[in-house]
Amino acid sequence: MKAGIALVTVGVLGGTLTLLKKNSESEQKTLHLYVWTDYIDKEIIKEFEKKFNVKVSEENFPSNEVMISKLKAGGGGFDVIVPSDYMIATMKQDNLLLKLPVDKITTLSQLSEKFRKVTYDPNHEYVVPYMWGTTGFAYNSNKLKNPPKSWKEFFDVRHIQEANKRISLLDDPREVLGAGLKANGFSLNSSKAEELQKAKQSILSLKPLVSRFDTMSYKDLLASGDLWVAHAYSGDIVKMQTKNPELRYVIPDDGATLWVDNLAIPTGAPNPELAAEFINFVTTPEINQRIALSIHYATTNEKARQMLPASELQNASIYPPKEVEARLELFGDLGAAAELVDTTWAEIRAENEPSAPTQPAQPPSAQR
Amino acid sequence: MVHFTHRLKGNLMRIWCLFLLLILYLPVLSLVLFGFNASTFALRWEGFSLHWYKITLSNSEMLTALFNSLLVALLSTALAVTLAFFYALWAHKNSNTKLKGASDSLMSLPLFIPEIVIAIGLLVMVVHILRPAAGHIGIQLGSLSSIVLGHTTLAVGYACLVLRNRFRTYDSQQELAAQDLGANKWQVFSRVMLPQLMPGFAAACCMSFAVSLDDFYVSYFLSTGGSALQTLPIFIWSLQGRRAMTPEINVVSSLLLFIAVIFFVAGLWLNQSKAVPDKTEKG
Amino acid sequence: MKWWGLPAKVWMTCFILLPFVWLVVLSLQTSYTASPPTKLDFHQFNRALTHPYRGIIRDSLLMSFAAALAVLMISVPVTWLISRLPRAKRNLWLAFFTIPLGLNFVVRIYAWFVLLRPEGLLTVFLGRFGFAIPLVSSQFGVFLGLVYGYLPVIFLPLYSVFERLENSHIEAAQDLGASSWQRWRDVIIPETQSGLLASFLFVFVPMLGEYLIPRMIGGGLVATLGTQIESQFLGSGRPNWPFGAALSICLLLSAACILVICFKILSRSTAERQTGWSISHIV
Repeated sequence: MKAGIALVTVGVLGGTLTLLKKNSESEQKTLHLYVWTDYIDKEIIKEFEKKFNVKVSEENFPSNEVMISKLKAGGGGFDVIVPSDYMIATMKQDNLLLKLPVDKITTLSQLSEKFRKVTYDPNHEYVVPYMWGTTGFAYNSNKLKNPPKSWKEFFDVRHIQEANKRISLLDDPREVLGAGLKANGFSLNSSKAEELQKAKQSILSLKPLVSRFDTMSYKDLLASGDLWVAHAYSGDIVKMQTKNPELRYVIPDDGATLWVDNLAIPTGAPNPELAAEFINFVTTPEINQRIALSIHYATTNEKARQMLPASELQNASIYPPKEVEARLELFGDLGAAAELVDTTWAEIRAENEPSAPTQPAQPPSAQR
Repeated sequence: MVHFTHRLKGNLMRIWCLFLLLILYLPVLSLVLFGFNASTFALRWEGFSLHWYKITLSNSEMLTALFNSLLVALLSTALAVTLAFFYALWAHKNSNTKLKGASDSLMSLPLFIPEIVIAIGLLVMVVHILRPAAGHIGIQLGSLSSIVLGHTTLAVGYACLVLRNRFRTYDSQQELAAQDLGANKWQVFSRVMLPQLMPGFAAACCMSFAVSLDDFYVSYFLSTGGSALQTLPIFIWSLQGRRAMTPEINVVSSLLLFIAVIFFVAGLWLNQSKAVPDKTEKG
Repeated sequence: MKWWGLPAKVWMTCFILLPFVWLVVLSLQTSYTASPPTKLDFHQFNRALTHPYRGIIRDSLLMSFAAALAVLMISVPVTWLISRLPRAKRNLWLAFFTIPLGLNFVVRIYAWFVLLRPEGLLTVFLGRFGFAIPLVSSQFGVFLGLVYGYLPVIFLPLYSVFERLENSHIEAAQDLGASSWQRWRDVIIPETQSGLLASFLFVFVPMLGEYLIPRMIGGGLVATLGTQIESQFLGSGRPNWPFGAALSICLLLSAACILVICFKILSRSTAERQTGWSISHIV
């Protein structure tokens, strides 16, 4: 009888193991993308799949920080990632990036002047600039009678009261704190404790009116009318204007974030060569301008930019005019102060709402 | 008068029941309804269409996720029920061992611990302990084996519980009787033990399968990584994360609901046909 | 046969107990970078028990307690009514209430969100009558979500508790002139109390570690133990595994405290048997 039982057990376990083995062997090479939501057009991906006879799988991240925590947690297996400018220094330090096979990437020489020698990677050893854009806010012009024009007004509880529980903020520590800092007239990159404290207080005073911390699906909720005001990325809103023409994108008077997203290959990528092919593919002018046209972010490739139609280039939400561009600021690497930003963000997220959020005119100075 | 208040109370209860049913089904049914919507937004009704069904059913990601879910459920059920079955047999035979209380508690841990803690524990375990040894064992974060491992751990607890309870009514006298009648060990096992244990075995399988299919936390924390296996709940989660209110979720959930209804009807029908023996068995 | 129980025991030790021990070790480290534990101290626990995390732990406990109690109160009349129906009708009605379980948990919560979002059907409908309460993105919204999510979960265990209650006892009380309130107070509740408690725990414990509901319905605004733990491991801030581990242990300890208190109230064995019985009946 023992033998019988043992046989059955061995059979079950054996069967399981063979199945496990069989499944882990992949038939066709797969390229794993880990990118922001809606960042590479589906059609382009299909073309890439066809051209190189591979499969492409895509996963999305809501913020640079989540991406890094997943990479650090050992969620390897990604081939191409799209980190933003300010993250690259730390990623290099933590050995999260592979060096690019420069000979394979032929599009570096076509970069616009501004992106030739980016401070975070001057020699383009690790990253290729991909798209750039701004972070400001958007509102529904049909719902909001008195839309804010600056971060100061955005965080002014009395001013924004009409959008109670219809406001969303990005789920991104640097962006949210940056907005709070700008509202108080400080730099995005402030690492002074008292300035961060002021930013935190502004954000906390707005929090009772906020409906979501959301980086990925806020744009749909904005278009459907669930949200009236949202902390937003430029391209997301331009794209959503086709679904809801009442949306307006604002680069606030008191400043906004300029960001540059970069294509990179993370350490431990299963197919680094294929990843390089992919990076090359999506930065090729013809393909790149098609992507830029579909996602409505600004391209870093000069040749691609020249191919774009005038209507796209004249859209001030995508390519802001010179005088607006002067208000924009890049995130810098915070170094040791990153910890402070991080704890401040944790505190903002951890504070639960006060009991009565519906009080009409709350003085903005009333803080818990 | 007494009769009247009694009636009133009964009616109130009935209204309460209907109200609850409404609350339970309203979200689900509106989801199903808007799966047939022609519009991209779930709120505005723009006419009946099967457009989203076509898109969803040709979505290979969705089908892969469904396949993954079934595969994981199958594998972890096989593993969990095997483990639990032998454990239950052991516990039944050695019912007066000192250690039995402690080991029973150990087995029922997944029932009394918030699932998120189990998931975190497994994540930390896979990253800190199994991954360094990955070259030898082959367990990577997000791989099929790591997720099966997690689901099995959860399911063992439930399977053990079901089996232990069914075994309470197990009649060892029959075994002795069979032995007296000259049956050898194998015959006792296959002719006497198995038929008695079969219903419990089947119940444990269903339970483990359901636990694995419905699991969110373990898959969520273990499926980090580019080549991570996505089960259906995780796929739906990421879908709602990046696209609020895409009708694809409506379609997937309508299909799930349809399957659930079929299963319940089948279960009901089966139950009806064996209602009488079932009752005596529970005794 | 002596070794039959061994595989399951080894499995559970390896994948539940060992990770817990590892979580404890992890929680005693000061920073994530010190991968081999160099200096053990209680820094992380200090942090977990001060503002704002102390408040979060308290709020999570209170909210899950309230929600579990609400789920119990809501479902008692219904399950009672079903358990008193003629046998042939019972399964049908039970199926009506439990079919939503066949739908994935993620899907059900999503459906609830779609209905209750600011432009959701129910919110708009209620708004017409002047009830402009934020049903999502608030503590109250998360509470409602917990109740909705766990309502179908409690039906089967609760039903099995009532089903076993003999009609004769109640009839006897009735014959002795007990009012319906007296019947509940003196007969039904005392006779089913351990089952009621077990059913309560069956929803309370998972609610305590809930991440999905606060995240999806709370929109990231309502901080609970579950959301805080998740954010320490995979969230939008810098990962802090030691602190996450400390929070998980706090969660585990609070759940354990409640369980111990409940088991102390009743004799341990009855509660365990009843929970076991209730759960095994789900299949």
